Amino acid sequence: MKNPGENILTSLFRVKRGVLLPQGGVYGGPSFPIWAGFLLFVMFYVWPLLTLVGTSVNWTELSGSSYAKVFGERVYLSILANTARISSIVAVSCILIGFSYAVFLSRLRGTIRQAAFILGVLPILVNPLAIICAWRIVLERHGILNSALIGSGLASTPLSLCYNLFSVVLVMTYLLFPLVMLPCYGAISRLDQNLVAAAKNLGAGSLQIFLYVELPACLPGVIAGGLLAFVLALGYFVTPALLGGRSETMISMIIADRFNVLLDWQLGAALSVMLLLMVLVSLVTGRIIVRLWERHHTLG
Amino acid sequence: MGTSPYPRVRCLASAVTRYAFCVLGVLLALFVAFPLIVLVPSSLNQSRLLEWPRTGLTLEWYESVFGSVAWLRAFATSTAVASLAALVSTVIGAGAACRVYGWRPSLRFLAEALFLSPLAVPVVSLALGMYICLVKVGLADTMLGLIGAHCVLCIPLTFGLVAASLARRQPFLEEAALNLGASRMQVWLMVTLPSARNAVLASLLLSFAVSFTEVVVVIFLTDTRVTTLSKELWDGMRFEISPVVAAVSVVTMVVAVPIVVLFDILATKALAPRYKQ
Repeated sequence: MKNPGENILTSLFRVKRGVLLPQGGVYGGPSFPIWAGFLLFVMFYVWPLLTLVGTSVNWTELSGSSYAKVFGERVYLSILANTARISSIVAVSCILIGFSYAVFLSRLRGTIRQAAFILGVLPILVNPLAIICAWRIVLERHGILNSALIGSGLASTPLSLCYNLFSVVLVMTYLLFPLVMLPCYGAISRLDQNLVAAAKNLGAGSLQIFLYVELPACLPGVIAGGLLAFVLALGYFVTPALLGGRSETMISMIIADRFNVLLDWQLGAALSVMLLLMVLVSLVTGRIIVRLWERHHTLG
Repeated sequence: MGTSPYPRVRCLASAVTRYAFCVLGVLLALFVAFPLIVLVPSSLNQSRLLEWPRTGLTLEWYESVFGSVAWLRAFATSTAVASLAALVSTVIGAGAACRVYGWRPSLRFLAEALFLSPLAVPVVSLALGMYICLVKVGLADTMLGLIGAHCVLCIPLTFGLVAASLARRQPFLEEAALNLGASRMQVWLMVTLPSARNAVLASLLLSFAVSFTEVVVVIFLTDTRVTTLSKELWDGMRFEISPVVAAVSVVTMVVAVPIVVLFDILATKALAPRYKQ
């Protein structure tokens, strides 16, 4: 027998000892959910994506005219660049806020910590339209912030805080920062407390502990969360549509416009495929950067 | 401090960082909580515009929400769609997560990639593709089509949650049950499934919340026959926001907060390390 600890029964069912996820063997429940899942995904996921690609090149004719339009006209290229620019600003501010929120959470204890955690997750689980409505009340010309600024004498005329780059970035950051906060918080709370104690024993102050012990532990979470925020921001539709001005037009708004108003499905589909490719390219690039970084740090 | 060679400097530095830290923390908490809190007084404002300062308190807007057939019907539709989507996506996600771990690693990887990949696809692209397809089979602007579309968005979350919880279970319990003569069906029903109970409940709540608050797919797939809360809110917000929209936002928040609290408790339990090593 290969493994002395293996008895006849377990070898019969191929349950591997010490492997966290047993392969084969133990019954995994009825099979209908997974087949239902495959069916649902073919119907509502694989078929739509294939149709999207097909529509963008117009199945029957196989013409690339819509792509020629996307690359030929300056409008679409500048909107693609604009989308990438806004998304990267959002990703950086998400990293700043999400990471500080996670550090702040890790210093709290008990019920306050739990309450602060729930407060930090609320933005992704409350209806985004409710949040946009709330921010509009705060930021509009006759909103709370402006009346507070004028009332306190800090400003003489109402500032334009809404319908510009500032409001779009602010609200998108608000909606997406939990995606950075969650992995960072997980990394800090899983951190081996012996390391912190050792650093303290060796004379490190709280700032040094933060810089040399906690920050390196969080970096993978920061990168992964920031990348996720960037990718989701690329496809954001509701926030720039309701809070942006003309110069904050993002690609998803053009897609919706071509589709709803101009009924140019082919161009809408081509733009959707471009968006999908942008997301894939950024995910793959991010993965490569993380790999290189890890290799550098394990060897060096 | 006694062992440190520079006690006074260290104390000052740590005091400064501590104060800076407290201020930062309070500012962050305010940043997150302020807009949500602001909604409540705005929805009670007497003025028709959402102007500040307020003119007086009134419950008129809530009356007009709860008195209007359109809002109530939208609320009922949203609840029905979200409940069904939560049920279906939890059954599929949890069932698939249990099942997939019995497969060969290569097949398992493929299934995982398929079930988790909708997370990375931009919802706008997916919604456009879904609309083009569903129009062909007559499912656009129907409850069934909307539920199916929401399931695709929810299954990655339910699958991931249950799979993460199953990865933390202890296989020796299942081996012990097998050794004691339980059938494989019994092992699944009495050992595997109960160990993922919290994750299953948490994914029910999460998928309900995701479907209830989803906006983009709703905008693309529904028109006049099916109107959910998000659709009505979107139509109400396009041009001018009235206190009615603020009142509905408060109602959706009141629904969301207990769900989030319960989800947090369950998910923490489900993903906590189960036994001390």
